Amino acid sequence: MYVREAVMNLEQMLDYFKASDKIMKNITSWVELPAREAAYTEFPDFIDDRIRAALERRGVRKLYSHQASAIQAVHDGNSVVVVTPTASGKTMCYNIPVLDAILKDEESRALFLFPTKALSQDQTSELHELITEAGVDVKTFTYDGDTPQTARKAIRQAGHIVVTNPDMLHSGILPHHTKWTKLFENLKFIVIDEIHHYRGVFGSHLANVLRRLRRICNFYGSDPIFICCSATIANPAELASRITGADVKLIDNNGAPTAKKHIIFYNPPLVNKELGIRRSSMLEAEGLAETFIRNNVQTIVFTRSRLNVEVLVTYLKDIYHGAREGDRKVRGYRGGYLPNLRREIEKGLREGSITGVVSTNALELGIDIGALEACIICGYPGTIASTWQQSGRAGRRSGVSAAILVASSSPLDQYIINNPGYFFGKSPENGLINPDNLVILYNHMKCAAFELPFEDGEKFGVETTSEILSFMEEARLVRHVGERWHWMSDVFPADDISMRSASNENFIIIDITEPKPVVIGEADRFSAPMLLHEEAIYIHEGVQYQVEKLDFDDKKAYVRRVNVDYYTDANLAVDLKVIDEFRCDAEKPVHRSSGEVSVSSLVTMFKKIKLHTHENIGSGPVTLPELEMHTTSYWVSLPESIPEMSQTDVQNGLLGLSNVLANAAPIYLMCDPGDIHVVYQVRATFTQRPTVYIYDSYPGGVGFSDKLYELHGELFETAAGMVRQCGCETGCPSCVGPLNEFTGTDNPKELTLKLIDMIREVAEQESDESGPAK
Amino acid sequence: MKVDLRSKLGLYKEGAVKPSAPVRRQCEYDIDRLIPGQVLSSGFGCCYVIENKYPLSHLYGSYRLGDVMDADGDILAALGGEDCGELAPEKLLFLDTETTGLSGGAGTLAFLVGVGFFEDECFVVRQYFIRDYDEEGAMLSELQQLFGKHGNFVTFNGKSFDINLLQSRFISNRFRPHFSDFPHLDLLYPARRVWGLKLESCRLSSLEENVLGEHREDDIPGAMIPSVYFKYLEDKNASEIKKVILHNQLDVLAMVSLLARLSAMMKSPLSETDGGFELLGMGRLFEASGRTGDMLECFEACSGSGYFDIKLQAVKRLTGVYKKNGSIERALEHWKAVEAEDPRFELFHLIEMAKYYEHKEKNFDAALRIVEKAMQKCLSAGLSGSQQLAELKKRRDRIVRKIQSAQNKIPGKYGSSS
Repeated sequence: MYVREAVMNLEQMLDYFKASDKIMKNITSWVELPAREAAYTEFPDFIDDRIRAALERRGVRKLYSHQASAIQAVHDGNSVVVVTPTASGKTMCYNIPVLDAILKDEESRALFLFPTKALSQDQTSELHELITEAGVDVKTFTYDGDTPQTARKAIRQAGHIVVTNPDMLHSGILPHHTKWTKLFENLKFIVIDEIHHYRGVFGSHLANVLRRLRRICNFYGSDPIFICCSATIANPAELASRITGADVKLIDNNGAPTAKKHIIFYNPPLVNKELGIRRSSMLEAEGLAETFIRNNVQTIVFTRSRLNVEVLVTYLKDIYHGAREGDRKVRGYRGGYLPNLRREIEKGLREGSITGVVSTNALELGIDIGALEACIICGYPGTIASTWQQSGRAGRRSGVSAAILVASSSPLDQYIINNPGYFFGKSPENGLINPDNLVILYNHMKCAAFELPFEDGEKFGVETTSEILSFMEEARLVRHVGERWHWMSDVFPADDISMRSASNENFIIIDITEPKPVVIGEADRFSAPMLLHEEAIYIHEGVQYQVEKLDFDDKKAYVRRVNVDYYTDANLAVDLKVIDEFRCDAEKPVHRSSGEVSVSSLVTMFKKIKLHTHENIGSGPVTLPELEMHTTSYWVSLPESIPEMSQTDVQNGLLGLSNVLANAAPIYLMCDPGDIHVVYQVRATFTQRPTVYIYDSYPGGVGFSDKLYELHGELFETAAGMVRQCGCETGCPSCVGPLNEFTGTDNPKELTLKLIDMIREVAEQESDESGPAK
Repeated sequence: MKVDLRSKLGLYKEGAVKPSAPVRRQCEYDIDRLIPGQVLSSGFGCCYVIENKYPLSHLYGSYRLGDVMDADGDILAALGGEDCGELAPEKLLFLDTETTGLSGGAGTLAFLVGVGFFEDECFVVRQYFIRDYDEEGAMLSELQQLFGKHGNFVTFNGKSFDINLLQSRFISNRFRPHFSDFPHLDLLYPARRVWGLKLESCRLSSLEENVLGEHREDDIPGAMIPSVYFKYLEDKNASEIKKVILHNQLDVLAMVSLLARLSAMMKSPLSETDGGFELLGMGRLFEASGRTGDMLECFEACSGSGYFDIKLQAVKRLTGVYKKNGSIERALEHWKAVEAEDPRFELFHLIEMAKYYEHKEKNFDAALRIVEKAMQKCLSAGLSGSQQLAELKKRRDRIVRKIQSAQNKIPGKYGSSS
């Protein structure tokens, strides 16, 4: 299969693939995206000549259509979100307006927010180049945890553009706003890059940080415009508006040129049909990469964990005869590499001395590593947006490029690889947040009160602001005097907030394998009993650990590295009660609702499950307290009695349905599987009806399951597809779940489908009746 | 079945929510009964002002408050350091704040600002106290006027804390802080230089005890101050606040005394310091402010100290200067004096002497002797694998090469190639 002597170029290699039956039978989809010409617009007149001249010297004579639209919209005073693929010159959409404003008024200031340090370094180097080329005195500075103390004062006073990240804004800048008067008095722009990245818990926190920011701007008399950039998702304008609190205009008239590109979906062949086991995606990816690299086609391979990066790099280096040559030609890349190393890799790729680079999704976001010819994605990255961004790494201005997605055997991977329509059609993915989540909002209100006293009648996002302030007063955190609510504590509230969790009560995971213990991660309080009970197998960055001790009161889990052939699955007994129903559609036999639920969860035992075969090879008890949480939920209920289905049948059908929904919902929600939970009740307490609930794993809810109420029809259509298309006979882990989970039936697949079809029929009826707009 | 906001927040375990006790007003604990003062009213509101006047002869820490007037601008500048600005005794404003927390940031405020200044032949200690949050504006406006008349700050850690905080409060209350660039002498820095080696702690309380000889009875611990104020806000019982106000007063007086002490030490270092670490520290102060002559005087005196540590530090600094200003023989005397004490672990003076003999005097034999002595010290101290030994070896080998090449250049004296 791998040709050693003749060196082929990429086109020839692709033709070779097409001619090979062996390869083609694993390919579920091969799409050739045609080359596209650029759509240009002239530079708007109002742009300062120095900027235009600098751009012309760098070879840019006109703007792409989306750049011009964005710049014009911003000039007209609108906040915008620019939605175009990678490598389409998005940064120009903010660099130009910001520089222009500063050149017209030296006092102007701007704030740039990036999710990672690496990204901020790379984007600002582009900005610096433009500034140098234009020969103007515009000062841009990065202000984050690594900024030395001595530099901080100068940045606060003199920096035109301050580059930072959400965490630093939250705890380093806003609570100290009196040191930043120049910035806040003159703040004209806030730039938020990769805004789709801020979803779920993190996005809900950021929305509140920006509420505090706007409050402070109001105090100093400024009213900045937001310039956001997003990957393609279903609701970019909605997400951007909810995060920024501003009315955001959508700019999506992409004018950037693209060269011809092949997108190939590759599914490794089945090796065990009954259990649904396929050949390892990593080995398949390695084989494909090897083919490209041997033929000197510059390739990037994306994989899901650091461990996989290391394994793949080792395999690929072996292609070369000498160890030194292998080291030079194949490089690994991880988050945390210093800029000079990244420049080195980029340079090596540009010059051709590096042929292959293997990376985690650290290289997905915006960083310019030049353009490669081929991209291999080992395992579905979890969202369609990420998949497009990763495949966007391959793509030269002229000539051909190729991106190959190699599926793993996980249900979501299998579904996507067999349903390319999701990928090539309109994005189904929604970026979701809940800025009014009570816990999150409350914590940020504390910070806001610390920053500026609340005035009577002031609203912080919600109408119930004064009630919340009264609550704070009872908790002795604020004092109401003279029509103001003043912060009355010596505590620094920003320290109490972790922007990636919905509660203050995270558990810390400590690796005790080595003599010196190391903190390797955190877990939410509510997930802790399930993930971190004693003897649990916990996986981090692809490495297995076993939990040796869980100190529940101290919120610490001690783990040790192991190498075992099983994983553990905790039995979560969930008792769910509906507290409040916000929306309900109950006219037909099948009801759908959304609202608030109270979830009591108790873990009493766990199972040991063999990898690949899913055999149950043991179990053990778990003694941990019951936890209660209130959160948002969506649920679907069926009629009390269903024709031709016994109680057992319904139970098994619901179990199968739960498993399918747990895999289907993330497609629409852009969430991790652990962000939502699915439970069912054969007889729900108040309604006596068979019901399936999907709820957010975070107290207060962060917007995930709530959205499913609107996506009810699509969700069940996907669920139906997942089950029907599955290659198994009566059920398997890739669709309804492993057969040994079901008792009293030998065809859970059939039962699940019955329920799904019932639900779909009603959903289709409803949609016909209500008309196209939904 | 709606769950109301209060219970929801309670469910999320937000702090211990105690129902607040009804506020009983007890008039005998009101502030104006316990701590005599005046309510000051202005267009910005009211605040409470407490004032005490002291005669210049008042003693604190074995110095008279008026002794500070003897310090001239040069001394004050030398104490203040590089960018402290021009200071004059008549314009000095001693300042100390008590705050609602130490974390800094926009949510911390100064509820008590104590200032001290000279006026009409006495020393005035004035304290501005806000009895509730809505009195802050009035206090800040008063301070703003005061800063216009007495604009030379003297603080203890004010550069990073108190003045910073006041700037922040001005901005939060929509005043423009004009005092950011006023001359400012922060006593923490000279105190550290002078006493940093001698005392375990250079906090004001430690200096007050150990240097000024003042001991406070039942002083309120700093960590308790924010909670005392919060409690006062709720029940307006001034019994505990009284301690805070007294504490603040004494802090102001302590600063005056400390400045007097430092000035006296700076004027006559040889007689006013302990002749040991303090004298060394004073030398470092002079060094930092570029007063070389005074610095040399201090260090020379220290080089005769009975404490080897002090002697060594002094010699290091002295000889550094002497090497540059041409008094190399003086430096050599010092190094020899150090060697005369035969310190087991100190090599600096040997290396310096070796350098001198090798490069200045070109006396390679002497240089070699010294380097070998230093190497011997290294080995007997157990530093056989060290960087220092490796460097000494390099030096020795170079000197040996120089000796050999000198021998080869003088045929007849040592014989030629045999």
